[in-house]
This record gives sequence, structure tokens and C-alpha cells, in this order.
Amino acid sequence: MAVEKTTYQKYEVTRYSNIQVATIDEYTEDGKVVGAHTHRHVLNPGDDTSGETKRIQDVAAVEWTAEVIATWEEMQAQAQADAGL
Amino acid sequence: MADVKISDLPLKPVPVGTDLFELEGGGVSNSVSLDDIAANMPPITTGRVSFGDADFYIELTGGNPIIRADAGDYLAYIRGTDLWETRVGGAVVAYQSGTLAGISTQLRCPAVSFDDGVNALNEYEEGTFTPSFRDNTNTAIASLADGRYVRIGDMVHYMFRITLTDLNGANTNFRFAGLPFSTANDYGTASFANVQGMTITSGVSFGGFAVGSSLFPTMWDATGGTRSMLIGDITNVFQCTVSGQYQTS
Repeated sequence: MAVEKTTYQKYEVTRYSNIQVATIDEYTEDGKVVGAHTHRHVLNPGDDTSGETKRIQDVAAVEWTAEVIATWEEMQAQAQADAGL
Repeated sequence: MADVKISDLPLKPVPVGTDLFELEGGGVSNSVSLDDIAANMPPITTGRVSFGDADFYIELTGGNPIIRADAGDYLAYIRGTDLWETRVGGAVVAYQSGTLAGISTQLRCPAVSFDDGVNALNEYEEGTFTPSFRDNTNTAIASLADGRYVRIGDMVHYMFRITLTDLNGANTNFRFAGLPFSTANDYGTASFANVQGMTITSGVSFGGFAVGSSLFPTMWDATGGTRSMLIGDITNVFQCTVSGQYQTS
């Protein structure tokens, strides 16, 4: 029987509205999963989402308000300042 | 034939086994036992058997029995204080002598004698990610960018290798972007190996800290202490291998 590959995504939104995207390749044979591979990336508030699926773009549009983006950028700057950089 | 009400029938002891019922109709009298009924009852091939819960029932579809349940239902086997439950969503929960022994969606260590979940492993994942080297605006061009990770609980262990061919305008506030999970704090660390393509040939050590989904590389030397990696430190063909860990939320 031929092995079939199905690709799908799942995502989680963190408390700072980072969107963690998992792209999962699932391999099935006779309807049973025989293998899988997960590739991940994270979208931070304000990131370019033009290369993402519409679903992820929609999530970003809802999550990333101007206030959320500003808070995220402040946190990043503060973390670097705390590290003395 | 006149209707016969059950309430009109003479009282009899509850029949069991081979006790006979007398049936009369059309002037002919017959007898039948419970065993006869059980032996000749046609099998149920469709329909459902419910248990007083509209969302929990056994359904027969095409001869296949299917147990239907909603989010709050589970199938349980109980023997004394030992128990297992099959819950909606796939989790199998086991109790031994009344104590939680395991949940199939969590690995518990030790298996018994606690219930706060502190040592319950409910996340394990391994996979890949694509690191990039960039500043706030520009992303360097890489001929090789390969990352691997294992997440155990909320700890992410990662390693990656990246080889650049052109900085592509990136010139300040460098970071390695693309870590697989967002960080929960700025305690994340990094170790560097096989660093090449630097303008500095000796006298420095490398480090880094992970914030957000990026790793910010740092350098240390005896004169200036710790500082950021600067454009003057690297060339277009900068490359390195990095490993580290951080906590995710």
C-alpha cells in the first residue's frame, strides 16, 4: 500500500500573543499513522504574516492590537537592557 | 378478539427460567417460557440503548456497536478500589487502591502517591525549525539553516547550525530568529561551537540569551567584558553551531 502524506497546522497563542505554529506532516498507510514530522515557527506581535495561511493571519489580526505590539516591543527592549546590551 | 389488559391478568409468582406462560388466542392455547423468548428473540441490528443521558448511549449502526458520549462522560471499569476510565478525548485514567496511578496523556513520576501534577509530564515533542540571522529589518542570506529541538514539559532543548553567504544589509542588533517556541523568561542560554567567518581571531568567548523566539548572541573579552555582537565582528560568511535550552510557557 502506498504511504500517503497529509500536512496540517496547529497553533497556540501565548499570554503575550505570540503565535506558535506547528506544521505537521503526517504519513499514513492503510489509514493508520506510520510517521509524523513537526516543524515549528513562532510569530511575534507585529511580525509579517504575509507568508502564513489565512487562518493564522486571521488569528494575528485579532490578537495583535496596537497595545499588544507596543507591550511586546517594550518587553524585548527591556530584556536586552537587562542583559546590559 | 377482545383486548386484554395486563392489570386484568391473575397475579402469578415472577417466572424464571423454564416457568411457563400460558398464551391463548383464536381459541388455541400455547405455552412459552423465558428461555424460549431468549433463544428466539431476533438480534437488535439497529437503534440505540440509552442510560438516561441523551448524550451517552450505545448505538447499533450496520451491526457495529458504538458507544457515543459527550465531553463529560466516560466508560469505567471498577473493581473494589481499583478503577480505570476511558474518557472522551482518549485519556485512560487508572486508580490503584483508590490512588491515581496514571493518565495516558501524562507520564507521572512516581506513578502513585501525589496528586498535584507537579511531576506529571504532559508535553513531549521533537521536531525541526529554521533559524535565521537578522537585525530589526534585514535577514541575512543563508546557505544552510537547520534546527532541531526536543521539548520536555516546558523546557525546550535546541540545537542549530547556520551558514551565511551574505549579511544582506543586517548590521546591528543581531539575533538568531526562528526558535521553535516563545520563551517564558530571559533565562535561556546558548553555547557556541564551530564559529567561523569572524573578523576576530582570538580572545573572545561567545554566549547568548533567548528572548521571545530569538537568541541574542553576546561576546566577552577581557577588555570590554560582555557586549553584543557587532557588524565589525563578523563577515558575510559567518557560520556557527549553537545549542542551548530555555523555558517556554
